[in-house]
Amino acid sequence: MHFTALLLILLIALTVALIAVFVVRPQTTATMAGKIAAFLGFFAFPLLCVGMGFSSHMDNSKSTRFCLSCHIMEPYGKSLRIDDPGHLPASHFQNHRVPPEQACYTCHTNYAMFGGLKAKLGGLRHMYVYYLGTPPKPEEIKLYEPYNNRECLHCHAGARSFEEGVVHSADPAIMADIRSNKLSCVSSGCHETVHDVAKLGEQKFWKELTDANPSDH
Amino acid sequence: MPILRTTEGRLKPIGILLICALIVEALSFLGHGAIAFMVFSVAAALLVCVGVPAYLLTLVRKDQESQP
Repeated sequence: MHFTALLLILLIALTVALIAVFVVRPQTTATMAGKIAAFLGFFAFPLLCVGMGFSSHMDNSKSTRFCLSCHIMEPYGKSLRIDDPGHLPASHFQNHRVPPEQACYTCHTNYAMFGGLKAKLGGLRHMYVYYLGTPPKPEEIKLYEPYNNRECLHCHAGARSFEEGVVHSADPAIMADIRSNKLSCVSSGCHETVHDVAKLGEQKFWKELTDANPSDH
Repeated sequence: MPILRTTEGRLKPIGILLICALIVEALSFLGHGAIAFMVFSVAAALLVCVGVPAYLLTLVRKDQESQP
């Protein structure tokens, strides 16, 4: 368990103990000190617990393990281990071009203003569809919007391998189109193999030296 | 209910509600998936939308026992 989660559980225990005093002996609130303690126990500490808990759960929601906790996402987790350097998410995950413990979030968040919030709202929509709606088959899942080059350029812009890449630098118009999102990074003929979950059965998988699973991160 | 006529009496059910919500919140940290997040959200909503406002209400309501 994470240190902040432990700290929060301690705070929750303290708050519960404080409230329990007032439940068992309500007359304690008769004194000024009792009133202050009641204010802390019934108002300040519970709000603090909610705020810290929310922050902790928000952090956790960025983890690969969180995303793969829904069964529908399992094939997408498996696709991170495809043994093929041409498979875009797999090569990013296996070579740590994205932090493995936040692999999904790193690529699927939105690097614009309030992008994190937009990503979280998208996540809530996923949860609604998964638990209360009719979830599609894994291979039928589509992005809400076409993938924006901005998310790729957040890391790759300015990198030598990107700026001086043979195809990227072959024609100045190509680079301009990539930067303006006119030419998608994942368009046909470029980096087109992304989470090809329909063909998982035909793939070979990379075995990590440590016996960790993406869902363990 | 006579027990709910005083500030002290009204604190009891609010306290029990807050304790339950806090325990559920603590239990939500045992999980790491979407269900844990939803359990936390329900507990947090209960705390913020019911428990805390109910406590604040007890502060502004006069004790009925002290009324003539």
